[in-house]
Amino acid sequence: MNPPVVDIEQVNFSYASQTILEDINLRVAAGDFLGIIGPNGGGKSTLLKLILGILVPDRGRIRVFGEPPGKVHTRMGYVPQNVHQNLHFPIVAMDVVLMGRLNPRRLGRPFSRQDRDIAMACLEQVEMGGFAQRPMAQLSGGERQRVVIARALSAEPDILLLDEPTSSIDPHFEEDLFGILERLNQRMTLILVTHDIGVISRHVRSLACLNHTLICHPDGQITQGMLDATYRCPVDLIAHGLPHRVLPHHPEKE
Amino acid sequence: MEALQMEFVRNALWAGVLVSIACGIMGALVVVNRIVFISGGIAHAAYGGIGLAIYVGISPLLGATLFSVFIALLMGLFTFGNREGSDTVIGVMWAAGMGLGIILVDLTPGYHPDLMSYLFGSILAVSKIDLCFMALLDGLIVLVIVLFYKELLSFSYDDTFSATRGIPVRALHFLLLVLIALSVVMLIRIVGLILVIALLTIPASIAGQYTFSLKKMMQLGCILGAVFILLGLWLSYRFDMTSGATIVLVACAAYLLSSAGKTVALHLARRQRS
Repeated sequence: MNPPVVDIEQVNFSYASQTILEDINLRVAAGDFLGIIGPNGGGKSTLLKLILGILVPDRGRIRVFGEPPGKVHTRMGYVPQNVHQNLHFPIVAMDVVLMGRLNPRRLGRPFSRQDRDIAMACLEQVEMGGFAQRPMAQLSGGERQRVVIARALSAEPDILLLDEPTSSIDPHFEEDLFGILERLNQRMTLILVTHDIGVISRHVRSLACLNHTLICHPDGQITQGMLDATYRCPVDLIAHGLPHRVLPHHPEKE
Repeated sequence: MEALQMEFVRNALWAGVLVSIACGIMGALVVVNRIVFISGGIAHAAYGGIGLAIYVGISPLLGATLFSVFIALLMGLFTFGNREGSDTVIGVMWAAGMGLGIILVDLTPGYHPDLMSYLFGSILAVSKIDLCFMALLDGLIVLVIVLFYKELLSFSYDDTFSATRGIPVRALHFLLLVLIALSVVMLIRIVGLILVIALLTIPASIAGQYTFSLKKMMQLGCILGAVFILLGLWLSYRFDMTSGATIVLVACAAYLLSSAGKTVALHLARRQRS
């Protein structure tokens, strides 16, 4: 069997004195499409940032392709959560996608013809080929999301990490997005993080629940027991892909 | 026109053109990175360097340069990865620098008539050496931008993503603040440290209203900066007003006109559609 693409052993992480992640163990096999669900503030984005090497764990060990994350960041693609940040920044779609072609070994040298061709091809992959010179400020939420995915792809990654890619996009694009992701999954490993249970369960191969601690379910099935353990409250399994918030039960107020 | 015969007027015009390059390029980076407050902090804290220089008896401009670079590095430490959350620390350094400057000047015996020029600028007193300093600094800024434009663009737009690409975001953050500190010192000669922030933000933000590329924003910012400075200079000469304040008011008026024009245009376009 191939070694895991991502191998996390007994990782702890805290901000200031607040523990965000506790004793996380996770192995992601090559070609997997892992969905990680959990409530807001459960540490999902933090876990992705640990895998990317932007954050460093307090304890434990993380290996990506058998190496420390900092050594293999050029093989990882990242789709961050907030595509609405910096909305009025003067930048066109093409320049955003080209960011994926940045490489510390080519610091101080302009992008090559090849970089531009790859970036353009990635825009076409997400059906945004005609929008290359359009300012980001003039794109809709769904279009911006596509551009940000194209940016991650232009790095030609072997693993793609997506943070809440379905938040604040229209339901129509949601289906398109999973179509794109399923095609990508044929050639790369995917990890997708979301609080939207309804959407994810139909598309992923395996599933994990994260709320400070992580519970893995390799068969991709959500069970009521899993949700209750993760959200610590009864959660309706029938969500129809509608965005909803899961609030903890407050017995002390009753 | 006979004014052009005088060397100090010619120097002033050259200074106006030279600083507008720093205004346009660094101003664009200040605006898109939303570090106007940090830049204001560096500008005001620079007074500490002027006070220190007068106290130990070196050139005030040299003191301001060294001290504002030091302050920029210190602010870099506090603001890295936390651009919005460090307001208070910036405010404290802003005030501490000014306070230190005032006390050090108090402690130095003698009268210092040229102190006002650091607060409100004195473009008509720019010397040949000042012009060389400005040209050198412009050269440095242009060199950094030509070399690292794509990294600076990426860092400014999304520093987290840039970090995942292995770009040295920490070094870029400090580089940006040091270049701002040097530009601030240069602008102090023109409009004084109190009004520096106007020239560092207004030309760039007007430019930002008309373009969707950081590069074009920088170019247009340079042109606008030069126009404001030269027009302000002429008005101040014509009506015998303080040059720094006149330049800043010209820039402010242009900002107001541009924003109002933009709003009206948007309103008309909307009405036409409906």
